[in-house]
Amino acid sequence: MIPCPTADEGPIAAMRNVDFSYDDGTEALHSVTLDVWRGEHIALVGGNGSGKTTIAKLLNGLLRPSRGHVLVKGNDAAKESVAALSRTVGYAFQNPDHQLFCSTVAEEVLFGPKNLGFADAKAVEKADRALSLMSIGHLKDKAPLSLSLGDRRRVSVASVIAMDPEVLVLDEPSTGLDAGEAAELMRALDGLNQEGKTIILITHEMRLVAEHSERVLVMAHGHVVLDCRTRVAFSEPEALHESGLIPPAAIQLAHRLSDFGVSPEVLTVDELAEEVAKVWGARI
Amino acid sequence: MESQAESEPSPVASPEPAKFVSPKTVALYGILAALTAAITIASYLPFSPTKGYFNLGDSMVFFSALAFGCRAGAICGGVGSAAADVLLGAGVYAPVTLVAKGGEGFVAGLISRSGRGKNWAVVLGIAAGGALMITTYFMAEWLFLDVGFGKALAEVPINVAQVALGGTIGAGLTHLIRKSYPSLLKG
Amino acid sequence: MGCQNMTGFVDLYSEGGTFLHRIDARVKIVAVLFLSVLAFLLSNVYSLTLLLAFIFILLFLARASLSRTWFALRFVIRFMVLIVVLWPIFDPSGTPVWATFGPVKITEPAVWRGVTSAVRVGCLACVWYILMFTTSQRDLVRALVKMGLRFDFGLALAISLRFLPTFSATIDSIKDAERARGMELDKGSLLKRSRNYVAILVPTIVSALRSADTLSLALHSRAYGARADRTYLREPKMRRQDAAALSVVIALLVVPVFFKFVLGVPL
Ligand SMILES: Nc1ncnc2c1ncn2[C@@H]1O[C@H](COP(=O)(O)OP(=O)(O)OP(=O)(O)O)[C@@H](O)[C@H]1O
Ligand SMILES: [Mg+2]
Repeated sequence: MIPCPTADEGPIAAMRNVDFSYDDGTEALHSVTLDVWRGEHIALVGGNGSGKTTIAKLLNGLLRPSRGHVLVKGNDAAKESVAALSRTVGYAFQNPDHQLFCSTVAEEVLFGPKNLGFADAKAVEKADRALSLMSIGHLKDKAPLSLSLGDRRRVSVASVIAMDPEVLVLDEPSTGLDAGEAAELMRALDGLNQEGKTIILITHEMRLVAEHSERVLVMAHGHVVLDCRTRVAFSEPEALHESGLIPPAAIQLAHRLSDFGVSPEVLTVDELAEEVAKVWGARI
Repeated sequence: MESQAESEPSPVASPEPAKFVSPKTVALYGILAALTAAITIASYLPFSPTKGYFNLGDSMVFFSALAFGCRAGAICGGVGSAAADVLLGAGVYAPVTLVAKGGEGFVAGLISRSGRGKNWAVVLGIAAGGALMITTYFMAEWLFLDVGFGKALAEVPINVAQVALGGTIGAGLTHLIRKSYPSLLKG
Repeated sequence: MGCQNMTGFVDLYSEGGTFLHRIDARVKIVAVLFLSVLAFLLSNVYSLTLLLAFIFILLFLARASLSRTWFALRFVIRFMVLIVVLWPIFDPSGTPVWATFGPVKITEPAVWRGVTSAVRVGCLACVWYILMFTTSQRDLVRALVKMGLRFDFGLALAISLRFLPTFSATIDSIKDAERARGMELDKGSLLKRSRNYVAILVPTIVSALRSADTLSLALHSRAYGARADRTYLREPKMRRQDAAALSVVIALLVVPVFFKFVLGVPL
């Protein structure tokens, strides 16, 4: 879905000149300003320790800015509890094991909607939908922490989807999934995005970014160093390189082949194949 | 105290295997003690008029004892709780805690195991262990640290509450984990 | 609070180059034990105050930072005040009587006994900090092993100190996760809060027990227990200054004991 910032509706979530330091003095963010519009599919990328998780936790109130403001639906987040913010901004933790504490998967996924005060039938409906979206319905009666890492990850994502927040922040959700599982997860997220949910995907996998996100936010040392459309970001890889990010192979190959007339503006393997076919077709 | 010159170990011939406890036990006991200390520190509320804190560390002492037996209860409960005392700045209590919480874990583990983990044995074990802990603290404060009868007495109700809450949580935890993650408790 | 970071983990130790940092940890352990024994043997409030002053001078020499010292002393001071207040209420013996509130008699000797006990507890508490402020956990464990703690127990102790901050961080992160899913941890009845607490403890314990499994494999694969006469890379050696410090420590105990029990000086 193409985001359409309209005049009458402001960004669904925003940060204004936010600084953040942890209690031990680590300065994790410096003057971060960003807007998240309803329906966007954003990738938040950057090296280890660049501040991605910190941004996610600021957006749903787990951390409070040292300076500056976080706005959720136009309201200052400082005035709202984490529980209230979690209706709008759902956050799936980087480590799924820290998010699983119930004795069955079914209870786990029901936990959030129940806390938000959905009626029982409604809560169960939302939970079941989340389970089927993550295709883990068959694990309902299992103990969450006894599952494989991939399944634990999917349970933790499902438990956030079940709360039906408008913005979904997923912290490295593909870690520990095999290629097939990751593709399936991304398809599910794209589906939610089609329905109008805003997706913020934190990841180290540039291929997922290139294939699924429309906009990229690049973090380095607590600064947002790049904030643009994905196609633009990958068309000038120098900025990415500076932040220690390496574009996926298809994009690198396209850049190498640009001397032969292949457009470097491709994002996916399919697009590259099309370009190559075009150039070759013309040659032959 | 003086350092003796260590004799060089012979590089090959018949190294005698050490009579150490198994690595599994070392790892388990180390981790359980750390958990006990971490939970004691995390649940620290500046609440108690005596020890400086009211904590739920007892829940981990009981968990170690009920899930892994009296030796684990004694060592992990005692060492973990004493380490928390030292780290929180209540070091003067550490020796007392070592004995009081160690005894608590030992008795709770012993009784609950000899009753094969039946409900009555668990309750009796927690009550007896708790009583031992409370008495130890009281006697140690009154007679050993010599802080006065009133001061020692003031701590008793707080410790009773701690045992009641910690015992309930510890037993609940053991039940939950045994049900959901039985493989973890084979130690 | 200087010594408490984000995860609520507390480590009183700070690096430094003072002579107290450099002395062999075994000497410091003996010093703590001897000074504690001394505190128990002294019964005169003046000599106890002198001992407390001496301990404070040592703390000062250890360059303990103010915030650290305050963190530690907060506890001790509250503790001492309580002893002074509660002692006379429960001890009606002696004369002169200063005041009477119904059945409660406040007598002068009881007040002094309370003060004496408070100062003694102050000594016992503060003497620990000399050790804790100046000795890293690693050196402490190594010293205990050298003093006869079995190596395997020492290893378990080292493991537990190593994992303590990790678990503190895990607990914090799990609390966050529950809050992010709409749970309000510090609201509700005691029962409800305990239930919330169990929800925090279960994943903490499960992940901890998992790491115990991994760890035992790691110990196996690194030939733990292969031979009893294992060696250490860094053997703590008693140097001349350590020996000198040890003799001072011994004198600190022996001299007052001689004066008190042999010469009958009322210390
Ligand atoms: N609880 C904490 N206490 C102190 N410092 C922290 C804490 N959490 C993170 N930091 C520091 O803040 C900075 C930003 O951390 P953050 O977790 O936001 O990075 P990240 O981009 O998510 O990294 P990663 O890719 O490793 O997850 C890092 O320097 C990190 O060491
Ligand atoms: Mg992160």
